[in-house]
Amino acid sequence: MKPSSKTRDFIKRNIGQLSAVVALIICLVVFAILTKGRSLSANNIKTIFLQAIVVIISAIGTIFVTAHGTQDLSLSATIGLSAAIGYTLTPDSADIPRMFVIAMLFGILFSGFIGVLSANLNVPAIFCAIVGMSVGTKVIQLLSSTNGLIINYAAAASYDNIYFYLGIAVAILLVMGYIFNFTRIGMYNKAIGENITCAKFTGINDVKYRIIAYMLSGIASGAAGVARAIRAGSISSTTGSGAHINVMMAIIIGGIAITGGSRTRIVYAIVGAIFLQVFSNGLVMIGMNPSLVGLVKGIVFLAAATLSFNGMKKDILI
Amino acid sequence: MSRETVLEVKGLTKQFDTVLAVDRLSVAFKKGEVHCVVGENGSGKSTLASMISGSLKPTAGEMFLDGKPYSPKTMLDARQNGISILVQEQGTIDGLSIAENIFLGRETSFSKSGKVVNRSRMITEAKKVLEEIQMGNLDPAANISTISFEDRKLIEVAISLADEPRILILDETTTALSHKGRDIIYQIIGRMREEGKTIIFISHDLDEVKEYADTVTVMRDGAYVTTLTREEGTITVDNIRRNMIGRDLEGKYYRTDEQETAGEQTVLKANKLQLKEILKGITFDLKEGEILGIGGLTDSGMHEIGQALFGAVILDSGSVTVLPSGKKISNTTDAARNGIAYLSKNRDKESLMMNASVKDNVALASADKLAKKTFISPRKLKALSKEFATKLEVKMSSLNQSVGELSGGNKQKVVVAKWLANDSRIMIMDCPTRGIDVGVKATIYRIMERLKADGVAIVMISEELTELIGMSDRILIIKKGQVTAQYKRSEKPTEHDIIQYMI
Repeated sequence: MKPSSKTRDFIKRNIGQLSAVVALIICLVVFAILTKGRSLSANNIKTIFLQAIVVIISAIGTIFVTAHGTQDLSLSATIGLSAAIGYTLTPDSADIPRMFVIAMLFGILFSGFIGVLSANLNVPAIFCAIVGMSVGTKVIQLLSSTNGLIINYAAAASYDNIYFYLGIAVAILLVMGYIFNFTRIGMYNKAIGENITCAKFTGINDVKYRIIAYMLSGIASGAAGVARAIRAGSISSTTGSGAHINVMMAIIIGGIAITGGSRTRIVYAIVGAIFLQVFSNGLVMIGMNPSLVGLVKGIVFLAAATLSFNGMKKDILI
Repeated sequence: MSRETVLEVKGLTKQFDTVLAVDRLSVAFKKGEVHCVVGENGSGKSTLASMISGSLKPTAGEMFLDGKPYSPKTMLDARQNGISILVQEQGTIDGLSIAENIFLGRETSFSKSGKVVNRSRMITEAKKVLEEIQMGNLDPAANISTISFEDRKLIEVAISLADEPRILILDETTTALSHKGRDIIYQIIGRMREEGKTIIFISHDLDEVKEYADTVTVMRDGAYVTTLTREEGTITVDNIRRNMIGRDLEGKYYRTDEQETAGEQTVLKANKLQLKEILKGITFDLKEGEILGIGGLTDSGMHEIGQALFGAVILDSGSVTVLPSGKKISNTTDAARNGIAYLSKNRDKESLMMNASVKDNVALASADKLAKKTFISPRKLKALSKEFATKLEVKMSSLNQSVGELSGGNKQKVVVAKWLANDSRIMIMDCPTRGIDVGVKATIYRIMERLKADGVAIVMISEELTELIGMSDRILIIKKGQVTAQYKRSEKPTEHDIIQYMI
């Protein structure tokens, strides 16, 4: 086969994900022109990254669940709850690394529980999310006094810098990237998303690997929760709220099929997450009313989702 | 006897992008004949049927119905002209009752005002239709999704008959049916023929064609090859096959040896498999290098035996043991780890990831073999897939091609490659040549022979008796969940011998 037709083939197969990359580049260029380069200043890029950090980490972590064809809509609850538990079990909230470890362990447990609901008992994701959110909100309220859970100021200050967050994101990316691309956990979750019956009839224990997918999402949610807490300086029942919606948006805008499967890639989830942030940041910089930004974001999401679903339908027909 | 022509196509051509699906085809269909159209997959049979039935528009050429120009714009248009088609895929609507499905689109004929449907009259009428196709035992008010695929297929027959078509097109309708269902279809064909109507019958099953066709039109690569007729006595399986492929089949079709052969070592033991009312104490041994055929009617429980051997159903009692290790199989993971492979009857839906690449499909069962601790090297994965896709001679543009784009025979090769890559020693093949072309079927049989020679044990579950007789060392016949007879290869059982134990 000639290389040119190989390239064409690649483009045809990955059209959704490639258009996400193109959209991101166009978005960067357009806003750079409109803001006369201000949007690409080091400071602004830092701001964009810091605002996107929770979504980036969670989107990476939830890739296994996405690959097997469901959505971890409970991840907002996991983020808030694991941060709160990590905080509560860390005296004076001074030992930040300890807080991370506890939050991630709790994330595995809680998300694993959601995984059992989803994989073993076939509870739809949306109901898992409702359970997660109502439990999460109540538990955080129980744990917090009237002032909320305030992080030890000195400890938070010493960790609250771009390198620390970057370090967390890279660590999560490396670990999840390895598991996703080079182990059977990734391989099997993609296979389950392609065709769960085929996976079963190939000897894959689908329930086990679906639960593991949720546990991995839980690790990332735990890390994202503490990162968010340090950045905000406190934890409340709104910590992490809405993250699942942003993660879903990132995944769909990144061109990843929500039915999952073998073409699921971490990098496009990150592209989606960064696009969302660059886009809303850009709109604010050119002076759009912040309440309108949400609306415009919604319209873009709708367009991406429409394209994505129609693309899928076409695939099935062929 | 020369019969009157009812439908004639002249220079009919259909082009899809760069592919010429039907190429200047001219055929005359006569009254009171069963006219079979045969050819390998991709030869243009179904495209021809679609053009006649109005779902595709010809690129060029003409059609004449009763000597008048005929160019249907929709399937409804064709139906109003007395032409009905039955397709391979499912054509009923879940959630509606059987009666509602039968009279879909014609509900107003049960209504005086045109608004309110007289449901009880519709059900009474539906009952009559069902009785006509010998399915009077079904409740017309029941939801259609509660009945089996086969019964639904037969109801589709009833639906298309309700129009009283002059020309009925059957597009591989019998492929999905068991003997019972086929018999009902054959009776309908016979009756329509008596009434001077025309049946255009597209089929892969050459024995069926030989049995029922008055005229056979053979197509290859979209073009007309030849016409065979009953009057001239040219309709023989060999003759059809030769014309379809365009050359004499090289060498043999089935196995040519006449003795049962197998190794010493027993590799699998099924002991008193019990599953509800489906399996009642099935017991047998399987030796290395043995091809064990399992035959029966679709609902005899034989397909469930295959699933039970692979640990895919939970048995009420009984056990499946792999030897010499003595390991008992209780789930599919156990089965795959212990060298058991399963090729589903429903290949596309259950054995393949249609949108994933050949590479991913072939490697799917081999994670244990590929992983170094946890690490699976993409390079090693690719090499493994390449090795086995090449070994099985899968025709593909590259390892990255989607499996869904391959032909039926190549898809089956991918499934076999998947399990060989995993070093499977026991292959459970449920209808391994279903929906596969004649020319490619032979390839699958050669693969089975090669596996046998390598000492792989094969359980072949099949609804095709000639295939069972042609390939098996030993045949078990299943009826209502029990083994009713057993034949060795050297006993040379005939189809007749076997059928009497099936029904």
